[in-house]
Amino acid sequence: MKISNRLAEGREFSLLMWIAVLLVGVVLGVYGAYHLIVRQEASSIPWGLLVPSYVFFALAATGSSLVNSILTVFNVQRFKPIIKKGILLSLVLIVPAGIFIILDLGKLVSAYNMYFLFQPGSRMAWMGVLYIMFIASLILELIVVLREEHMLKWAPRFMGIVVLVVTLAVHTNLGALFGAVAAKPLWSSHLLPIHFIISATLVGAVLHILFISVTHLVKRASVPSELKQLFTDCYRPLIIGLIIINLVLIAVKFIPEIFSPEGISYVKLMVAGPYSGLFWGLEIAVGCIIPLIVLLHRKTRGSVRWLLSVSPLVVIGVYFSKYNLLIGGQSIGPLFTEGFISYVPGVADILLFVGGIAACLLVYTLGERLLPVELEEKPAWFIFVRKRTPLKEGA
Amino acid sequence: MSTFQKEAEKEWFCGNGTSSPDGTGDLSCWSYDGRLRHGFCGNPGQSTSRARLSARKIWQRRLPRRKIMPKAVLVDLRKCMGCRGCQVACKQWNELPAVTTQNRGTYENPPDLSPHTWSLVKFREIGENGTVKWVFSKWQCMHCLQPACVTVCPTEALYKTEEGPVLYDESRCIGCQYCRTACPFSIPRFDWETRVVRKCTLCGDRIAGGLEPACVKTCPPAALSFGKREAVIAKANEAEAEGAYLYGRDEVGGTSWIYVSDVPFDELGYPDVGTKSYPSHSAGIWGSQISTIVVGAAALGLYSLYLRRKKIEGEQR
Repeated sequence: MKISNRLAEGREFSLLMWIAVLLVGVVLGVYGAYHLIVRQEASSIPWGLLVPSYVFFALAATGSSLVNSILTVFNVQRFKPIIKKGILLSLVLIVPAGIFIILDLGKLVSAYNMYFLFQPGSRMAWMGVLYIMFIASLILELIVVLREEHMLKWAPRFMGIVVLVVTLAVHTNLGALFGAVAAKPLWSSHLLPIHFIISATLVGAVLHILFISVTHLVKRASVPSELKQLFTDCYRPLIIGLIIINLVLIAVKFIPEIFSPEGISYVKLMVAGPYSGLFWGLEIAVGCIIPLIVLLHRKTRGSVRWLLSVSPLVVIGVYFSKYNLLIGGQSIGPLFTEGFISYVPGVADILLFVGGIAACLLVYTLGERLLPVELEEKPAWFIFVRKRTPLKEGA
Repeated sequence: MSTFQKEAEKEWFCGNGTSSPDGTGDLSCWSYDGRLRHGFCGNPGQSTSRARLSARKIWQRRLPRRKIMPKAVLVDLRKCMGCRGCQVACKQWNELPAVTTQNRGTYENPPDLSPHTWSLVKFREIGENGTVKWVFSKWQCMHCLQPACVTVCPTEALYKTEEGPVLYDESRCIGCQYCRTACPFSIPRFDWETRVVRKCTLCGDRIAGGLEPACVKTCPPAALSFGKREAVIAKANEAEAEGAYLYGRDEVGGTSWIYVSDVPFDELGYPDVGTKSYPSHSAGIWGSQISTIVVGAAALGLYSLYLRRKKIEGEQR
């Protein structure tokens, strides 16, 4: 048997194994969802693990979309090789966000009320509408980009602008949903919408690098030099700048709270209290300081391998920044509870979290296989490919 | 009993909004004899909140044609003796079950508000002139004039009435619990079994019929008094002129519970929530959202410009 055939069979087997693993994850998630809905276990705080997880994936989806707009709106052609995957990634990342937030609703059967009894003064009501617009515009953008040859010349740019505006509206609304809650000093801030946009773009950029690089590696093909150059020339300075702005915003948020009677308790919670480990260890050190050092050090700053190795650290840092913000913000007790409310995610929440990530990766894997997301690929029927063009070995 | 209430005893109202003197109707039937009661027509009822809402709407239409004045409760903590009759009256009127608790070595029981405890009396020991005195304080929904919970609710499940109570329609609720996080007093409690929010209703059903809340009616030393908000504030201002401390008059834009005490409220555990209402705080964030959209798009554009110039310079080199 030819070596190329054996390699092809090996890749197919790996792919099947990968899908099988993801399906197991999805099944675990379904079990977690069943447990959550049917067993109805009480939580010590209103918004548990599922809400920061939803926020993280919403950030990731919108952030990926913002990075895509560098090509789709501002016409930087260097991003052309990754644009189809970028749009697919934005769509894929919103899947777990939707799963988490819908299943977190206490009364799922009445969820449709959010649309039929729409309250224009409520940011949560707007969240429901804006996310539908976001998903719809992303799907349209993907179709337009995949079928670019059949579209009007201005269609991709037009859709890019629509997606950019909707993305910014969605994400600033999410930031304001928390920022407008004066009852929670850790959340209450006019800067929170801006902070969310910064976090979103940061995690969107690193997920582009992660997904695209890992996809090539899984297919046993090295990352093309064109992409490597794109990551080091365009993504690296963006990531460095966003990490620095992120650190500045954290400092700007916490320093004034030191002088506020209520705010000081939240600052202590993060800086020197039960959340200090997550804050200093994961959010600051792992998520910001280590990546900054690696990306700025003269020996490592030009290396794509080092860029790829710090990308997961940034993802972890951004996730835990949202975890600390949302869970920590609810941890200072209501009036009658002395001190700090301890929260431990339930088993159902954790299983659902695992299932959501598995569902995201599964949809991305299937999308990669069914859609012409490589630069040179064209759709055979509508937006789908009939036959996968294998990547060249060692390309 | 007012003529209006006497009239009420004669009539039955079905959940579908039509009056039915013989009690027939295909939905639950309610009689107003001081409280809404179900079941005289013998038909199984629909959800309690729907029927109450329907009956309430009927009552509003039948009220004399005058402006409905907002009401408030004056809580004079100087008179409160900690009997907790208000707690019991609330449980009895709203048919709330008892809550199993533990002996924590305090007279406070239960320790916290819950889906089944809407009114709670807290005991505080205050040091004064080398002795210790007890000060009792009553906790329940403050029924703010500009409630944060009403503003954030995506389906208007929580709504503010003209008389003052902030009420809840469980048929609209999606269980998002945004009201719990937004309330500056941390009042709404989520019932994890029935998946609905529960809190004090200021006995909206009693007020709609011209009665006072159950807790006010039962208070032995008359520490609680109920009336038009203007009159309640006037009394509170008189007490403040005499040196008493006030709480609830200005907090978060004003509430329907005005407290009077001779001990500062921060010593009693009342939170410093400021005088700015949630809607006015939230309004300021809209500007931040819009400016973020503009600045975000501009920043992406500038970065793209930088990348294109960098590429051109690279090509020229």
